[in-house]
Amino acid sequence: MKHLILNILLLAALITSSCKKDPLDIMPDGRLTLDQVFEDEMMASEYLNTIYGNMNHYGTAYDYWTMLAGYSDEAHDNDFPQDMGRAPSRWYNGELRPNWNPMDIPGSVGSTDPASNGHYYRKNWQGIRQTNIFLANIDKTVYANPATKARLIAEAKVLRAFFYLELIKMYGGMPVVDKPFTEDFKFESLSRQSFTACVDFIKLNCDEAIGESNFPVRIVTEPERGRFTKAVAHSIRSQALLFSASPLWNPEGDESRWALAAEDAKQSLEALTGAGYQLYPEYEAYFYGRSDLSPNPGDRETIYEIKPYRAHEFSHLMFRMHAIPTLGGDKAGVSPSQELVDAYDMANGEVPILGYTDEDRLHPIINTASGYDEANPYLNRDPRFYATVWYNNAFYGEINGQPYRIQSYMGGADGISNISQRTKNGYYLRKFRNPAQLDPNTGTALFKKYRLGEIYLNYAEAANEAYGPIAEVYNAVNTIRNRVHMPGLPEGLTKEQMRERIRRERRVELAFEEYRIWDVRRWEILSQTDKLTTGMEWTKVGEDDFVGKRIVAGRRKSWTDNHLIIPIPLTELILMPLWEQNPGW
Amino acid sequence: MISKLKGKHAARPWYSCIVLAMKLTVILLVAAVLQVSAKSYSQQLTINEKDITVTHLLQLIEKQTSYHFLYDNLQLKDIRIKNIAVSNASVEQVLNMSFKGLPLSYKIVRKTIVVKRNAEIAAPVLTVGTEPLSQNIIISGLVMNPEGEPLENVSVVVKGNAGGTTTGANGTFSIAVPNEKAVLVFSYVGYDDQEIVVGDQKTINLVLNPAAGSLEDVVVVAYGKQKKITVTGAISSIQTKEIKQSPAANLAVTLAGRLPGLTALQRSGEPGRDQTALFLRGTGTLNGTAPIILVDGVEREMTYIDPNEVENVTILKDASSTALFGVRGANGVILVTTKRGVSGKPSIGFTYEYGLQGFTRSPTMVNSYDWARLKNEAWANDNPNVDPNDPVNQPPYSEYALDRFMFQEYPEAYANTNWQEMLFNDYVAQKRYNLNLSGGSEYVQYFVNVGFLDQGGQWKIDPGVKDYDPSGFLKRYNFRSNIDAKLNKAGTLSTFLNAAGYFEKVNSPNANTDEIFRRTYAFFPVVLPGPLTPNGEVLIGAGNYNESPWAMINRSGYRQETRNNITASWGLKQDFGFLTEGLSAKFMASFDTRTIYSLTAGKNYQRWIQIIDPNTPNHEGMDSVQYTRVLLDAENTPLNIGSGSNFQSFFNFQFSADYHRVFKQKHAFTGMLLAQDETRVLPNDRLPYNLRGIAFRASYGYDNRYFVEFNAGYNGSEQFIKGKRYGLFPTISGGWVISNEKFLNESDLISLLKIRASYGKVGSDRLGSRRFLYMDDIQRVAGGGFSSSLGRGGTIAENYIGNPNIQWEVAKKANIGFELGLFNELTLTVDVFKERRNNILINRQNIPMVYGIQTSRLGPVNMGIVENKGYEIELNYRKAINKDLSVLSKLNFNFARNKVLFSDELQYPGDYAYQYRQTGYRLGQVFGYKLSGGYYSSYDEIAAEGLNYVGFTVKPGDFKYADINNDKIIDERDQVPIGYSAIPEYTFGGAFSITYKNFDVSFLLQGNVNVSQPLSGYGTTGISDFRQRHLHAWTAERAAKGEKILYPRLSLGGSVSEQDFNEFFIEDRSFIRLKNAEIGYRLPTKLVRKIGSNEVRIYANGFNLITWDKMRTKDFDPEVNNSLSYPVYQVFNTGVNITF
Repeated sequence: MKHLILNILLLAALITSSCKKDPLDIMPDGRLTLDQVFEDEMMASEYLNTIYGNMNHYGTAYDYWTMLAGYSDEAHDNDFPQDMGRAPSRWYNGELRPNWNPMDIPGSVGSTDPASNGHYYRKNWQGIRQTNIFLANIDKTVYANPATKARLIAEAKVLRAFFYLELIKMYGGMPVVDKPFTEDFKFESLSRQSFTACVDFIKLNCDEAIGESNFPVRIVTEPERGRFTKAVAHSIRSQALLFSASPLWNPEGDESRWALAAEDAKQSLEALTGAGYQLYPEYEAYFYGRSDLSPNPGDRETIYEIKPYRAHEFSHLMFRMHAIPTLGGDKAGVSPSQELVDAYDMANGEVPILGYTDEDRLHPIINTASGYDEANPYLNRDPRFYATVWYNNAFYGEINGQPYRIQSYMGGADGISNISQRTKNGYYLRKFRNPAQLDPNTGTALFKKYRLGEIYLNYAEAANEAYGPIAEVYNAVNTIRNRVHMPGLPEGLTKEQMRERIRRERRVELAFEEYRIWDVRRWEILSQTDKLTTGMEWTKVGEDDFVGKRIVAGRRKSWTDNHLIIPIPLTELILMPLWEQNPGW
Repeated sequence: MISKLKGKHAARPWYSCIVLAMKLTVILLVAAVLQVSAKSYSQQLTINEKDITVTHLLQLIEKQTSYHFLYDNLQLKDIRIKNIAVSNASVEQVLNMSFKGLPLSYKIVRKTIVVKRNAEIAAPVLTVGTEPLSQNIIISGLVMNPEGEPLENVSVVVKGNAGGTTTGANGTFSIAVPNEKAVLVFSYVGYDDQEIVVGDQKTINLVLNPAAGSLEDVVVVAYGKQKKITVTGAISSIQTKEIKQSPAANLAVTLAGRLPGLTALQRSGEPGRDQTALFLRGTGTLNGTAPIILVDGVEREMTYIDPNEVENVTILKDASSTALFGVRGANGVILVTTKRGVSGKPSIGFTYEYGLQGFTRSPTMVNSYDWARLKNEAWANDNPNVDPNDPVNQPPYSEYALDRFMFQEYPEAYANTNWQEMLFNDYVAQKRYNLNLSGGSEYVQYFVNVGFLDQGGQWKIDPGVKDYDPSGFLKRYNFRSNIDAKLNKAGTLSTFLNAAGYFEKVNSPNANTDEIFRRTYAFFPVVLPGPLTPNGEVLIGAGNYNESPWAMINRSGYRQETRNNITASWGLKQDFGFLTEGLSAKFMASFDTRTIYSLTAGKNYQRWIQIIDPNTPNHEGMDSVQYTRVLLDAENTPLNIGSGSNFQSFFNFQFSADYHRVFKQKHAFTGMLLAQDETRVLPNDRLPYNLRGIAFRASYGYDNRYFVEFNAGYNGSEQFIKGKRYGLFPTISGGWVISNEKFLNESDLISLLKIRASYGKVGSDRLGSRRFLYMDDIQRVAGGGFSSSLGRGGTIAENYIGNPNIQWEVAKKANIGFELGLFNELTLTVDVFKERRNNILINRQNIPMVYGIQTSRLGPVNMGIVENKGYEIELNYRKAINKDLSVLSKLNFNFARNKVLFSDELQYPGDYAYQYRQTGYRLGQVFGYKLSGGYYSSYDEIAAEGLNYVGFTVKPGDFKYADINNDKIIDERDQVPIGYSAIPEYTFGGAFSITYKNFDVSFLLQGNVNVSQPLSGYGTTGISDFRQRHLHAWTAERAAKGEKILYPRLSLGGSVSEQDFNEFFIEDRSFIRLKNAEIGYRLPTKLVRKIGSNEVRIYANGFNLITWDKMRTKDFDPEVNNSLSYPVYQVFNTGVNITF
């Protein structure tokens, strides 16, 4: 018996000791290292694909599917003051703080909804890191076709430029980081660099990409939709250089920055028009569709559109979230401000409103020579006005076979009211949404991030500042105006007059396309534009007879100079002892 | 007086000892067979003495073995042993050798050896129950321990007589006494003696109380048992009797309030899916805090174990008692030991219980008239100064509609529906059947238990649902069979097999339980008419009310989980006394599996809404009521069956060697070495979890006075990089039993006085759900990427960057314990502990975003530090006041407070009222807005104060928040710590029981203090639904009238006041509750005998009977996680227990 037991124990001991392999040596499968990723052509390409995922969706993906326009004087966001928890209301309420950016609601509350905009600071740095990793590792990846690799490298460089530009537009100059941080990097030793230094880095990246012969200027196949091109590089470079020459980012008034911006924009216009880019003939219809991708496309203006992240997302949300009440929808969203309406020229090319006599802008200084009639303000305006704004008694089209006019007068079906489905200023947004589209799911429009029109205006502005109102400046602005059949600018403008006209042109041409919020900042006119927005309250006095009264739609606290540059997130600043917070925070 | 009797026998006259001796001689013959079984206690003796007294010899044997002797000093004092020289001999051998030729005989009863001087003349043979001629009164009765369990082999003697008997297996005895003046002396090893005057009684039932601090008490420790007196760690345990006082279906729930240092929080009560959170000494880490649970030495589930099969539950709290678990021991250990059989006549026990269970609390309701009025009130608050003629802005309910609600004349349109009443049963049945059998022969002992639990669910099922059963229920069948067998005659080789399992079915409607409660408690108001349209389609409401809880229960189908669990351990023990004395070895292999098969039978249904148009009256002059179908995608569908299953398996192999030996009667050495290897396959985790390690224990005790013990675990887990997987976790502990010192030895007052202390380190590898954190986790994600033209459209997910330096958490724990026993009645145990948990794995927060990767994707780092301190006080009192009445009370009071010392938290700037949210506070400290008192009474007051409430518009009736940092802005910078955390700092329990004749009463009070947690808004705020307290919400009128205001102004969309995290909504969750109460009655023995039974006890008990708490709303139980948790139960239960 004893032997039996001893044998059993011996056996047990043998079993355990015979397991030479440590049972703790489990090889987790399915895991890779970054080195392995870049050993494989396919995975390296997938890594680049991942980088694109850091881009925001822009357009109508701001808090509760609103637009950025409401954060500037071009529109009033109708969530204010009804819903004080929404981002625009909080913006108007002056809640921007280093620890709380209302524009960045997901970032502020930690939401990770991938469909909405936010995390601007973090996501752009994530994009920069990933492009740095890609560019630092791609050398060793062997591609069967070297041209593919060259294209991907160029694409990554433009992506890096893109993330930098989006970052510094909001937060100002940032450290220029062109390779991945090592694990033991001492972040406390990192200091900020100037906006100009960042723009030079952006230019460097774009220049290199533009010089790459394997980098296409335009996307011509559907599977490649959304990928960056040389044209995108031109747009980014042009915008970055324009910004860096502007007063906010060029406090020393270095004239050479304007010249640089003008030269590069000119070069870009030549390159792009040479490659077949040109303005789309119809301004209004241009925003109702998406670019067609073919070697010989109908739309030759679009340079970059935000790729749909759900089927028909942009047009769907434009329908539901910036809705005409009588057509249903979740809310009225952003309504064009009276200030924007006043900015449209008369069809004859004259300026209707020269300014206001009062702080609240309720009393316009009317240019009587223009033919503007305050009682019938919507008559004979720039065609772009009709393409952008729904106003009282505007003819919408046929709904269920019946002709329909917008009833934004008091007591009308679309009238001003303090519920969020109604306008607060008498207007509704028309741009981006085809009136013939009566079903939210049918539109195909995409948000246009970069288009050729902008580069003309970038060039005009930079050249005017650098060289004065030379013929090329006129040519650029008039190219834009001619498309909508507006008369050219009057001859003999001074540099200052030309500056004003270019700014007006930019404001109406690029309305609701996320330019104004940055333009009023780089021109340092925020304190003049953003104290309030006004609207028009119409009272019906008879059939097709209305009496209008200018009203203040919403006052804001977000106009002070500290709002020129968004404060760096508090959590970041705490960790960066060498960094100075942006002015006023 | 004559002498001291070992075992604290009272002195008795010399002559009576002779009679006793004669009787014992006879009993000895009868009980000879028992000696064989006693061999299982055999220990090897080595004695070499000359010319010693018998008593001296017996003392020597006692010191070397766990035997104890019962003898009369006087009787034996003149007998001397000339020569005894044995080595490695058994007790029997020693006694047989040394008693040879002497007028001595002995008898072994369990661990007690009775030694007596042989009488000159043989006395008449006496057996249990027979009556000698000279004696004429027969007394019978029952002897129990305070837990009510019968005590076997209790010595019953007539004081002053030599005659005596012992109790049988069921605790009963029968003895003849000479007359009414006779005194019966009951004695039993480890228990205090009791003397009872016979008087005119024929039946004597009594309870023997254990001797405080008895040398014999054995407690369960990690991988073994130990004499209680030698324990130097912090250990507490409870026995099966206490567990069985609770009718709760979940074993973990029954532990609340019973064990000092254990916090059990019942977070929800859903049958078969209830959650109980267990914490030992609070929490001490930012990561997993669950203690490890071992059932019979192997890590297993506890909740499903039938309380009837549990022998005891022991918790190991300090470093020394958990060191053997090494890298896993830091959160403490819970040991569940199941019952085993004993040799003897088979004992059969049958229990049947029937109980009624209902929710402890349900939300208060308001009627539809009040509900609609409150809706209007909220609307008016949100829309002040609205033009009453505004065609758009009108209150939700018109005066006309309010009248209809009030008079209830037209319930089809203006209903008053109590959904709670319609959907939930007040009480449903819970039934439990249990049969257990135990017994055995000399060689084989068995314990077999089978049970069936049938717990109903609260959903009220529509009688129209006929083709399937959506009701909530749990049916669990369980069995256990623990078998021990000796494989050789000497008993040196033995084997055991523990097999247990359960098979259970959990059934419920095919809807998310939280969602049913959310709908019932928050989003399905009383104003909605019944559940169905006149055509029998499901009616829902508009807007937020767009799902019907009635349909979720009755129209969504059902889901059923069938769970199968088998746990089995087989072991072999060998005594290696032949190699070296005191050495034995054991190995055990365990194999557990669990399969869960889930069946989902779902169906959809059409949804209709009701449209009431007061402007278009129907033919009866009433408002027209129409029904319209909405959500047209939803159709009435037949059941659609889906299923899934998961599998879990576990393999554990243990080998251990034990050594136990006493040298020179004073120096006790023990040692243990255990090696184990373990593999666990969890569902939904492809790779197994492996663990391997050794554990080591060595102790030295001197003269039962001084103890020192060393414990260490050396083990590793695959969570760490090769080369950093194994760690050594040593602890040292010691104890001093002052009461065994000479100067206290004789004290009547102090029966026990002991001080012990331990210090050491243990680890924790519970690092959250992610695995292999030492490696990068970069994976290819196929498809779905930004562009299908890059790669194959896939992306590279950088899930996280690994940290190759990752290690386990290290807890350094110190414990000082103090035990005091007075008069053998009262014991006081105080333990004070301090723990510092280092190396806690945390995600770094001090990495800037410039790095370009979210900190949550960086491998976590062993940086966190948490300190945890506290104490436990346990006070036990037991006393048999007289033969009929005995009382027992067990009180415990515990405190544990932790503090986060480092969590790599970002320090906010100085304009934050509190610059940290974790560091320096307890884990889970709730932060929120402090109220500065009262409500805003007017816009003027708001304007005068001039505070900017970020994100909100403040209106009269809102709370005033305190602007802590005085910047005139109310935002997160003003948040302050409010209350405590969700885990109580103070817990206490008080168990009391009284036995009077055949009756017994017991109850348990349990409480938590210093605990707070918000309930979540659903069903508590006016945004979702209205409760009684909203009738007392702030309005200008009520405020002006000076009415009591119980709630801030109502609002439809939520106001600044109705946020979870302010002082009002962070509820104080402290409570005291009558957790259990039980009353039992033992039927008179005569009656019971007639049906052939030994004992029949009927009883009634209850669970969660009364709760006293400090919650602002009494709509929810203070213990639930949030307002949507399945409510906690209250049970009223009756039962009968019959043993044969």
